[in-house]
Parts: sequence; C-alpha cells; structure tokens
Amino acid sequence: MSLAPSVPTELDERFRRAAGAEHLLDVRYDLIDSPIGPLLLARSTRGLCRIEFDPEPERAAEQLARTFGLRVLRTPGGLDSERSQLDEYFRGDRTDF
Amino acid sequence: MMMLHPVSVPAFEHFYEEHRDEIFAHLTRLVGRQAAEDAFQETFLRALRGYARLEHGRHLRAWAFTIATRVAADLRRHPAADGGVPEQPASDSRPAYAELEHLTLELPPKERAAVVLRYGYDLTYADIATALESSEDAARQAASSGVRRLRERRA
Repeated sequence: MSLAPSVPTELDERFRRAAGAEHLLDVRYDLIDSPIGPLLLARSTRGLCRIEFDPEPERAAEQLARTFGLRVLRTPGGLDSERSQLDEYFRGDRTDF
Repeated sequence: MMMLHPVSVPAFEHFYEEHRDEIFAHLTRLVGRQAAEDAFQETFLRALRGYARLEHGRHLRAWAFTIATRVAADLRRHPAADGGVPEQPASDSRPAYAELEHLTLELPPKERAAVVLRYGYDLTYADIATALESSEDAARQAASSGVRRLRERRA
C-alpha cells in the first residue's frame, strides 16, 4: 500500500527507543560516522558483537538475526557508550576496550 | 541472502520497516491520529514480544494487522483518561477497509478482525486463520457470523 502516509520520524524513533528500554531486543545496531568511514555497530544481550566497516545494513541485519536471534532493530543513539569509546580510540586516547 | 527456510522469519528490523507505514495508517483510521501514536508503539512492542516464537515468515502482514486491530479494540475498551474518544478520521477517500472498520465497530473482536481482513484487505482465510491463531474453518465462520450480525443489525 504505497498510499499509506509515512510514520512520523519522531514516532519511529520513540518506538525504537522503547523496544530497547523494555529489553525486548536480541540485537540493537546503529550506523555511525568515523574517521575511516561509516561503521555499523551492533550489541547483543552480552555486549558489543559486531563492528562492520563499509556496512551493508540490510544484509548485516539478517546475519545478526541468524546468529543472535530475530529481534534485531536499529536503535539510533542506542550504542552511544560504544560509540564514545571508539571516538576515544580514533582520537588516540584509548588503546584497548 | 541466507535462507534457512523457504519462508524464514526476517530480522525484526525488516518486518518493521515493511509494515510500519500501513499499520500506522490502519491505526489512524481506527482510533484517530492522536491515539494512533500510542497504539502504534503498543502494536510493535506486542509484535516484538511474540516475534521470537514465530515459526515461519508467512502471513506476517496479516499478523501485524491483527495485532494492530486488537490494540485498537483494547484502546476503545479502556480509553485514555485524557479523552480517548477517537476523532473522526480526516480521510476523504473511503476505501473498502475504511468503510468496514467503521461499520464493524460493534462486532466482537474476532469477528470484526475476520470481516475486515477478509473483505477490507482481501486476505485469504488461510492468512486470516494464521493471524487469528485459529483454523481456516473458524476464520471462515467468524467472518460469516460477523456478516450475519451486520445484516441483522441493519434489518
């Protein structure tokens, strides 16, 4: 049904945050910019589980689903701590994780 | 793409992306624009709760519509304190499903879902059965008793 109006961005993001907050996800992922280009970061219930360079998000989501469970969702801002650790790494302030 | 099963369940992200717009439109027609926002979130949270138990990826669209229809029905039974009365939908064109959703407001939830999914969205009884977690016969029966009830009311 292409005539359906789009979900407002705000509502879309609210749902994505709620899904994470309610611990209903097997994997959350996000796309971020880095000095070496776009990265896909993914976190399972056990911690950071993937960093992909030059990512293909569609394929990555399916692979994550097969490996960690079907409930895979992009959660913008949902991996901010991993992201700031990477920022520190790229600035040279961090050498291990 | 890696396929373990001819119709394997996709990552939730893809299920969500594929259906979010039409589900939002469906909910807007059912409960009005304002209430649709909460109903939208509740619909997909419920879908997430059930997602890991899905055994195959068939009928996901019917499944999503059914959850949304139930959420809307729950909202109507327990409207929010701050005026949960649905606004009149602002749409000027009235496609079949919109008419039906309006006409079937008073039907029991299962019959309503069956009627709307069958005659409004043109889903097969097999799809509807999956969506309602019942048999194809039961789906057919729910639709036909829903229609009967509508006729009686008009008489």
